[in-house]
Amino acid sequence: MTKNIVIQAIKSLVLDWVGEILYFPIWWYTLGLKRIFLFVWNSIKNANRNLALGLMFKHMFSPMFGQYDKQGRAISFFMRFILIIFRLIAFVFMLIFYIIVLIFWICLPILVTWGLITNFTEIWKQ
Amino acid sequence: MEAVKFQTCETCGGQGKIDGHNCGTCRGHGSFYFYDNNFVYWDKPLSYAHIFIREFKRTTNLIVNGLLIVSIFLAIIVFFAILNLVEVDPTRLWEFLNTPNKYNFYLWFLIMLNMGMYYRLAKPAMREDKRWKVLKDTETFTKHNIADNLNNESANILDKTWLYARYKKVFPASVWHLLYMLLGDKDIRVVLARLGIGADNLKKEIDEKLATLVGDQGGKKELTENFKESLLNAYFHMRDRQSRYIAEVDLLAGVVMASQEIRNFFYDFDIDEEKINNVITWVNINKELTGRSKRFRSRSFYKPKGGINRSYTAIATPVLDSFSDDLTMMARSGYLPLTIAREKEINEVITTVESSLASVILVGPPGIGKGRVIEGIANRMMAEEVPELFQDKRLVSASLPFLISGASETGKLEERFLAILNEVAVSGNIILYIENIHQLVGISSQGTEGVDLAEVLSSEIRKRNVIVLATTSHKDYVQTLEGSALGQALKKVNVNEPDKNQTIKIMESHVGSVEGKHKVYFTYNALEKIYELSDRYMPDRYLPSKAIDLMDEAAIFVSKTKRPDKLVREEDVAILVSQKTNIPLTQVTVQESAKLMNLEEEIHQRIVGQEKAVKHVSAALRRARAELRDNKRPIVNLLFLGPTGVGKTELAKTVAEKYFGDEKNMIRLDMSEYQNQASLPRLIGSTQGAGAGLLTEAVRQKPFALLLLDEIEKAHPDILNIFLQVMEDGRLTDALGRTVDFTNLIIVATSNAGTKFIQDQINLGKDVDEFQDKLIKEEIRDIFRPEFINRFDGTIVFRPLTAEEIYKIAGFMLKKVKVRLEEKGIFFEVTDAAQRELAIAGFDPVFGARPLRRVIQERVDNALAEFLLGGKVGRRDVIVYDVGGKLTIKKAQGYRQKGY
Repeated sequence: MTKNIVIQAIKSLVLDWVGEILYFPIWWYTLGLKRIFLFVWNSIKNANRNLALGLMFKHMFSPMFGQYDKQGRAISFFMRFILIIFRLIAFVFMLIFYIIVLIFWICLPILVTWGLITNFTEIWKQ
Repeated sequence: MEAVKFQTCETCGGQGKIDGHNCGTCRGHGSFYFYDNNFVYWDKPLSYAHIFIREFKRTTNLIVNGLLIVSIFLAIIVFFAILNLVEVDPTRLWEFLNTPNKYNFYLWFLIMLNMGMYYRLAKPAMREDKRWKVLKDTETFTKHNIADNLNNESANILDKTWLYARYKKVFPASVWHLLYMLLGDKDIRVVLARLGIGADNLKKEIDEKLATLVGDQGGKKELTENFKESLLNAYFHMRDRQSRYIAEVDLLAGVVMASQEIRNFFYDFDIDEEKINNVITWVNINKELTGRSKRFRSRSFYKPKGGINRSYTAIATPVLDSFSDDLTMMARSGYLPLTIAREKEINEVITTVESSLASVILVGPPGIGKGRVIEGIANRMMAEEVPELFQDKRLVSASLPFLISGASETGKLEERFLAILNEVAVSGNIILYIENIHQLVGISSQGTEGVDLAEVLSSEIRKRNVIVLATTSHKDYVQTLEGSALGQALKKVNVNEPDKNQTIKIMESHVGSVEGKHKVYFTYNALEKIYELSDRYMPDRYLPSKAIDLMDEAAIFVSKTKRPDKLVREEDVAILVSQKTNIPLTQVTVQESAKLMNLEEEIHQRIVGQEKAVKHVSAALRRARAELRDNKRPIVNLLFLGPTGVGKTELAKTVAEKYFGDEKNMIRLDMSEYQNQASLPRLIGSTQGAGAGLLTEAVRQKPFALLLLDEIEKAHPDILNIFLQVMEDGRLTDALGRTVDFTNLIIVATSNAGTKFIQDQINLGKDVDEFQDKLIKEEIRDIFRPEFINRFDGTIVFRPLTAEEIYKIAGFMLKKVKVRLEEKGIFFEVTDAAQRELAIAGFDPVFGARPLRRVIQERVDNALAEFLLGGKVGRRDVIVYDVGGKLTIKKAQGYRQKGY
């Protein structure tokens, strides 16, 4: 009886594992991809929020620090322009980084397969 | 929430199979619950084999996950080994990776394992997200297996429940088995602790009586129908609290909902379904608060630290900064507590400001949480979870006392105020909060008569240069703001007292800090009692602050006791409030109940005769103590009718002593002082000069007392009308507009009206019962109107005293003399004949017992005074008073008791 149960348990466990392993690549390119895509998207949104790019564009022509005179406005415009340029550069860098993460996710299984296949024969060599 | 039940499939009769195939209606499940296109069923095999397999898998999976975690470290080690081989040269590394060798294989293999670990951990979380979305869909037909919604602990408990049944050899597994297993769970123990009961006793009881509790149900190795219904109810409980898994608390709620037996079991411990649900909500409130606090913390990262906003349009505001606190900045640092149960007011303020750029004033009594609403807004502004108008702005609290103090020069105050307003207007990112804004009205510096700060501010508000959030109390709003320019510039938002549920929620959010501070633990019943008693017995303060303060006091009270458990129970709160108010509120103890049952005898220790009156009063007090009275009226309203000197006032004093603990807890008004209408302001106050009224002020100061209205027949009819309302509604509004609570008073009115009639009838040998009706309906009809008489819960007629009663009263009075002498160390005795002589001398059918006091004073007290002053008596001597006022001394001899 007990022996029977143990065999049954191992059988069920092995079946589970086989299913899990077969589903692994499918998950990686469907739900997993969606998950990583959402992560990248949220990170980009947060970066945008952090750098307040929208706000900077919106206030492009409003004076900084309440300097409503002509000089103040001119300097403000100039300052905002520089700020926007720097922030845009920072934003583009972050964007590139997150896109690389996404590409990495997509390529990783292929890379791993390639790596395993090409190096497989070397295991037994001294 | 209504309990739900599974429906047995009619097609297959609950078998699930027809001719060996799955039934088409119930899809092979036998019973199901169908709603909104959702097909809910229970399908989880419970048997020794299945549980063993599950346990085996769980353990193996844990080991596998552990190994996968190890693979991360191995990957790092291999990578470092490779780096070491290529001497950290990037070109050589690239070459190395491109050349086939075993190190590369190990590396790639470990990376693959790492990917596998991520997959194993991320996959279940995503599947649950998906299932939750499907649940809300009412359009598509979806099957839901309750078993899929169990969280790990709940699944484990169900397995253990089956194993418990197997171990006890009591099958089928019933709700009792489940409850037994639940009682061992950590979360359930927290819930039960909050309900004030220990789980171990319950467990023991179930364990001992399991077979009897379950009864004979066939003994099949499966679950009872009631068990499955509990699971169904647990599932809906989970849905109701918007959770994704059936947690242990859901199982508990499900068991209680589905089984009448379990409900009865808990009811014996004074726990009902509602209480269990409320405690579960409490546990969830804490979880929600923790979640919100975490979210705010992560959001605070985005808020700029200084006063400048993210778009750099703001300016530095040095003047404002020196007279104010930046609330959004405090919120950023996490100093502001989270606001709970005030979402409605917060949203109302935000939409009012947003809709018309208006400034808002929060109006409500002190202690009601106006500041909390503002703090809630500050927290949301910090997290930027507000409409655009509020985004990227600061909420700054300007302090009026700071602003005003030190501004002694002419025009200095105005200068400061204008500078602040100017900074706010130019900066454009500031919302100004002014607490107690009514203090601005009428303020201007010396030498600048006319325009005050309130007008300056109101003109700025009108010009939309500044957005102001302000607070004030009702009284100040009516007195100073309503109708003024400032009052009109501000839109009013009322903040009302929270109701029971909200108050308890607010208390629950505070309880953690109070418990931490005083090292105590509150039960749910204690919180409910705090709400109830503070609401009822602290009429001059407001919720929620009075409840929170009482909670704090209760915690201190319990922490100072020497009890080992430090659990704040319902009873502790009652004792505390009893001590504060002198009202008996605790559960009636055995001794007290015996005392209450014999109240008549207790009262008769002070009152001679008047059996009917004493009986009536005792009954009224028993009703009040058993909480059977109407809470919206005074405890009891009584009218004492009868001749003078028969014990009316004495009985009132006795009642004050018995119910309120001391005869000093009495408010006595001589109504002969209120014979004309003009005396009304003395009673309830007036706005012109007189100030607070005698009656209303006395009741405000002493809301728990006996109100004695002496000689009520002498009062003006208009004044009687006032009492008409008091006796009916239990409250009275004084001239200053304050509502005074009369519901905790015993009102006793005494009157000599109809004395002659009473005496005549008694002389005719009639009993009080025989003529009481006639007395009330005819004799005193001209003095008191019928509606006035009707307001009394009882009209009690006192009859004249008999000679025998006077004799007894003489005994009482002489006893007092005895007590006074004993204080001086001298003993006093009166012979029986002398007492009778005094009683005869003091007896007067018209004046009752009054002349007796005079007689005792003249004959006994005077003689004693002369005796004492003559120096004839030493300590422990006994003075004997005999007939004819003769005093003799028994000198103390030896040291035996009392000198004999």
